[in-house]
Amino acid sequence: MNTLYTFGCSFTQYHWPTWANIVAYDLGMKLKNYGQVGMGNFGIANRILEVNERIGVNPDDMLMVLWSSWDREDRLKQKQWRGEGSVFSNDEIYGTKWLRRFYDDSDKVMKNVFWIHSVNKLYGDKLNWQGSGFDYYRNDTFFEETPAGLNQDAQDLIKTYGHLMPEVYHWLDAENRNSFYHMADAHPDVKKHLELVQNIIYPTIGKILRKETVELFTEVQKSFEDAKSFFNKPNDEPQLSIKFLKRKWPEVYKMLDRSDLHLADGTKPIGID
Amino acid sequence: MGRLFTFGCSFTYYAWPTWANIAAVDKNCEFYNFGMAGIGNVGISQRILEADCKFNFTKDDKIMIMWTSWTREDKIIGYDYEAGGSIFGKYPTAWLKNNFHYADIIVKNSNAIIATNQMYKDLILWQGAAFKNDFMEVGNIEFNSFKDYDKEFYNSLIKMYDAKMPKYEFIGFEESGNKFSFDCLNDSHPDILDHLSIVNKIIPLKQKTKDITVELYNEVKQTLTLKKCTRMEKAQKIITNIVNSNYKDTFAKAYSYEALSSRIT
Repeated sequence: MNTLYTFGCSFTQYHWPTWANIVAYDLGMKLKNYGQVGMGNFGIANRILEVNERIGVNPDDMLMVLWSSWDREDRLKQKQWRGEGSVFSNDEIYGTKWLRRFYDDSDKVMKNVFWIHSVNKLYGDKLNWQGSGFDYYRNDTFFEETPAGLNQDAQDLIKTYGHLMPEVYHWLDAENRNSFYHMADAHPDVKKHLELVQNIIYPTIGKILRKETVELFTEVQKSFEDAKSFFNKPNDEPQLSIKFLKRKWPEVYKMLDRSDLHLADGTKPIGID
Repeated sequence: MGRLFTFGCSFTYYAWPTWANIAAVDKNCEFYNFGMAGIGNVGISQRILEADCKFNFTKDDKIMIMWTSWTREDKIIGYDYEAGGSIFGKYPTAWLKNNFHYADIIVKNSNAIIATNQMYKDLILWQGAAFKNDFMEVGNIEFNSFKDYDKEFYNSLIKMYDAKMPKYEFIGFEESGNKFSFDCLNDSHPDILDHLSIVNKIIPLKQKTKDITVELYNEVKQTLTLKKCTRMEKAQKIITNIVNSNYKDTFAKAYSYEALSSRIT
């Protein structure tokens, strides 16, 4: 069976099926999903490199990536990447003192541009599809000391290096409502992922979704929507989502794959639970 | 040969000509030095891509890289890379204890070096390492103080990457034991003579290049000694003046530094 390798952040790997699961199911492919909650583009690029250089990709396998937001720093903790999300919303690791000393728009622009470009230079012909979950230059600055919008230095750098960025679909409305219309979470729900596959990914790769796939994931969406009372603790929604999926949709639950790169023998991937 | 582009840390671009400048004088070609004091290997990798964007590498161009220490993290502040050097000098110990892990530097350094070699393998004339990439040799005391230190695991990780890592020489600059550059400065970076000895091993140098480099070294050393110069700031001015006045057709032609901010739109 051919393998679909997918890369991205929480828009690719989450507590319910994403576009990655839908495509793999529809095409009858084995899924290796290297998406990770909180992952930035430098980390995503590193994972794409790892898979290509260390594991190797067969000609009939497929690679797809949904790039993430630009305000992230990626680090490995012991034996795996850890998703830290935006530097502006992670006070435990970064905080005001760190941001004052080390944050700069130029740094963010150059790292994102260079690493996304590197992936395209190295593996562009192998990427079956790529998109971005956010506007490339969106500035998620919640740091009161940094003015809104990219500073002049960063804008000048974009003028010189911006052309390196691949032209891709930007999924700008991914987070415009509550997931399943009732959760505190705003991550794209199954319906949104299905629309992404149907309207954006598949037309690009010349495929049409099977009726069975549409029906299955529409049903999953509906059951989440109808289970409002089950998700009664906003802070527990991730765990409850997994629990709900495992109970109501065991076959779909099995589709979720949290692949890790097994940095060395004996390293176990993070379990879904 | 087309143009020569060199990359590395302070062992590549410094206050006086380095192996990169000597190589450029020997090749007598158009030369651009992207070396940057304190930069790490991820930054070096990014700078190679930056040079490609600015100069549109052709098949006739050549790249020489002196990879650096593995314990660096690169940040661009404003218009250029910050010369921060090792993370042990950059971040407070408390922060490192919570947020630094060995796997982070192994994976990031290995991937950066592998990616560069995949992208530019046909243009790389030479690459070597100024420091051993057995990172555990570097800052050993600091490393041992971290509670997750698992030497066996990290060694197996390094071994795993070895299959894809390019084979290159370890130059051993930091083992030169040169505590006072030019025997007088309060700086331990390799001086011009150290660099000549290194570059002579990398590429066969013309006798003319060796002679003029020794001549420059002697002139610099004599001037610094006569002026009882021990401080870097003063030395840099003196050396730049010597290079620009007396070596116009050789070292002065290949003495410039390529900043991130240069040649941008």
